Amino acid sequence: MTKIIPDKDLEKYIQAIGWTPGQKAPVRKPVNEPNKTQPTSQSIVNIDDILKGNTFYSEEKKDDKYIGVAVALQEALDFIGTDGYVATMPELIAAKIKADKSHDFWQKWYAIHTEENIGVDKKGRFYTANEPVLVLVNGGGILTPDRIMKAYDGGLVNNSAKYEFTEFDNLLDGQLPDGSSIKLFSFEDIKKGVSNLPHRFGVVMPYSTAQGTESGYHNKKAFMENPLVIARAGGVKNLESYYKKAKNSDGNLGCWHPFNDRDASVPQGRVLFLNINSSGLNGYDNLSSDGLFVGVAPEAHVARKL
Amino acid sequence: MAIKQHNKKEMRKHFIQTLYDTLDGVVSPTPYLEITEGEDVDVKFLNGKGRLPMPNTTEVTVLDIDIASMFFDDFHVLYEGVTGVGKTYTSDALFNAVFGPDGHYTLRLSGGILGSSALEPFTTTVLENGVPKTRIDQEKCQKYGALFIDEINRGDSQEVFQIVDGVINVNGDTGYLRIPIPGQDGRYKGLAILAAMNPADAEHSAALELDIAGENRFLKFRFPNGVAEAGSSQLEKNLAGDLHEIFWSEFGKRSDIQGGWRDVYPLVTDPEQLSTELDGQTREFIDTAIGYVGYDPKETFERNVELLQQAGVSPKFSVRDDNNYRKILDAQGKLKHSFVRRDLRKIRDLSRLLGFIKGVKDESYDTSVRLNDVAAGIGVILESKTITGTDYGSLIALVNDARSAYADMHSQSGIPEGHGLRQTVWQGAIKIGQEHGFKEYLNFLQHNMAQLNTQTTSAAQATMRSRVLADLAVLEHFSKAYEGDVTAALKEKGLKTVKAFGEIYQAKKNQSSIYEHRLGSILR
Repeated sequence: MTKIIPDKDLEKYIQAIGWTPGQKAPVRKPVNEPNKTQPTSQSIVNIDDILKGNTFYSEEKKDDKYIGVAVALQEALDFIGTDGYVATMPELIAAKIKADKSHDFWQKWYAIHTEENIGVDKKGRFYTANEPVLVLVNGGGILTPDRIMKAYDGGLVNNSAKYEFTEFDNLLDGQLPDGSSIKLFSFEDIKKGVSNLPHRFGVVMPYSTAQGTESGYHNKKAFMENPLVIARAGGVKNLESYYKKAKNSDGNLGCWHPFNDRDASVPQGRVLFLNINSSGLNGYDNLSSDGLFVGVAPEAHVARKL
Repeated sequence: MAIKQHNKKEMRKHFIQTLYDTLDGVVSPTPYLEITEGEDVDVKFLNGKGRLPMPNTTEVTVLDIDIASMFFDDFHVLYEGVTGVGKTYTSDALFNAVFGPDGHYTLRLSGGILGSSALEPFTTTVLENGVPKTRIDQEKCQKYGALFIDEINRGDSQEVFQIVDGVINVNGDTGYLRIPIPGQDGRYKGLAILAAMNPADAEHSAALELDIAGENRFLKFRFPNGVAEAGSSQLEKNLAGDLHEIFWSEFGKRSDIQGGWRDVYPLVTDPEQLSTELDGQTREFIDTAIGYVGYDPKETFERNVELLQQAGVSPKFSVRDDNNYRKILDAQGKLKHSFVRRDLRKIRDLSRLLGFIKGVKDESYDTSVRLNDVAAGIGVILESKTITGTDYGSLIALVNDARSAYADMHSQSGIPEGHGLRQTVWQGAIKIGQEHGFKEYLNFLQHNMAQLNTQTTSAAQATMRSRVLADLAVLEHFSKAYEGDVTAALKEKGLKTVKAFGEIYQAKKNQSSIYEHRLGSILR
């Protein structure tokens, strides 16, 4: 039987050690975190919940520059707490497939809780050593609201957040600055198909592959076979349905990126957007932008269970 | 009988005081152990030698141990000692006083094919279809209040263990060796058992080392030889007169409780009055100390550091390979083997016994177990593990180092007395989490870990601190792994959160052995 310490003794202790709420936790080396029960596409993440999800928009500026992405993301994260989720690219694509064309998802662009980071994999964890790679992270990676704000304050590089080398290097080990860990898949695995992908996961592909894709509109074949499209969508599973619903009258659908003139030796990253109709998958926009995220609170899946 | 109205503590006090007075002219006190308490605790094995009483010093004699052991049903005392030092005499005197000649039984076991059966006092032989058959005699099972088993290492161990466990089986019959506690429907007082054995050495060739099952059932003490110290004073001690009559008559006068031993003894010694649990502080001391006193501190430290590194914590202290460390290893070289699982239970039981005895000695009759009782308990267990012929002063010095290091850590942290540091941090984090949510709960844990992660000045401090830190790192990991559940628990009010946390632990502890080993004594 646990012996309970009287409240007054605890208060005295808390006071004695000099702790105050909001105090920053001491900095530690990044570690492999316990495998938390992540919301998965198969279980907690539910497309109907996303369709009814709350949206968080901010066009706030600081020194005349947009900080809306950070602000809106923070609001969304505050709303969802520990058990909810902010929609990622694969999830929002799935939601758009199910949504009626009159749904807001087809009428507005959305910022996505998916980030694209580039840098050099010195150890060759996925491909060869010293090869530049693209690392997509769904469900929260390096770009937390605080980190985005820090990037704004420090000045963006190529309209992206400039990373410390260790931030990117740790990411390749599946370790994030907040101490949590993440499962990374190679592009080849994702293309083959991974069942039960969690809400939070990453995809690594050679940067040269991403650079080799055309940024712009694509016909069906080009879109369906585009490695960057496949990586962003978390596989090929929903691509055809999405293409059918999103393509324009010419049969084209967009996938955009800025990689042609980006040097991966400077590690950097930005969030993705999902554009209106056929404008498609957008990785081209400035991190300094207004933001509009979709958040699903834990109550949604509790209510669904009932 | 007007026993129910009596305060248990008062009854205990009268019973024990009367017993000492009754045996005063019969049993010579044989010093066994001395515990000195001040800023440090010191434990010395007296081996029959007397010492001048000093302030804050408690002398524990064999009779103290025997009397105290009557109050505990979940363990028994076994003495190992050469013939003639008084093992049988002391127990005979005690049991005669309390139970009278018909209320206790001395079982003397002997080896060989004609060896006596340990079950004999509780069985009878009946003729069934003309064939003699041994059956359990249920009356005899409740006839005795105590049993002295002499030369326990020379009998059929399976039979002995049945008796010690209080349940015997013969030819399909089952008998329970216990006496009912009057007025307490369905509750019983177990048989008081003292056992003795000669050392298993060349001089006593028929005696064997007790096997593990035997070791598990007893607290074993080396019976000291007090003859040299007592000298001629022992000549006046003898088993004269009706001790039983003298004892109960005097007890009746002092306590105003009348009745025979069957009516009063089970009530006075009802084991339910004594807690079987140790508090958070003493449990934490055991957890942290055994890795220092019983194992290579460097290895213990490094095992904890592995866990810490997994959690991203780099210790700011270490166990230095210096002369002090070498001395620790030298001292530990006197151990036949290190702590094993059963030793933890023994440390607990012995601590309870010593706590009880101290309460008798200081006349508070308090039975709570304090840090020094545990330190002494660890010391006694260590002594039982030394290679025959070695002195054990250096091992006790290790225990004292550990005691001192733990006391420093505990007092520096401002932890309330009776509670462990880990327990306080955990409950403090819960309090914070209830008010500010999971993130702050975690922050609080991490803040405490950072505060503990400071330089140390001794191997004992480094080893023990590494254990506390590593346990907190496991708690942090557990909390993160089950963040959703912990968050929900933190939304409960007051004690419900602690209860909910306990439920999470029960449900998830099997996910990893480290959870049970490191969190059990904090969260349970």
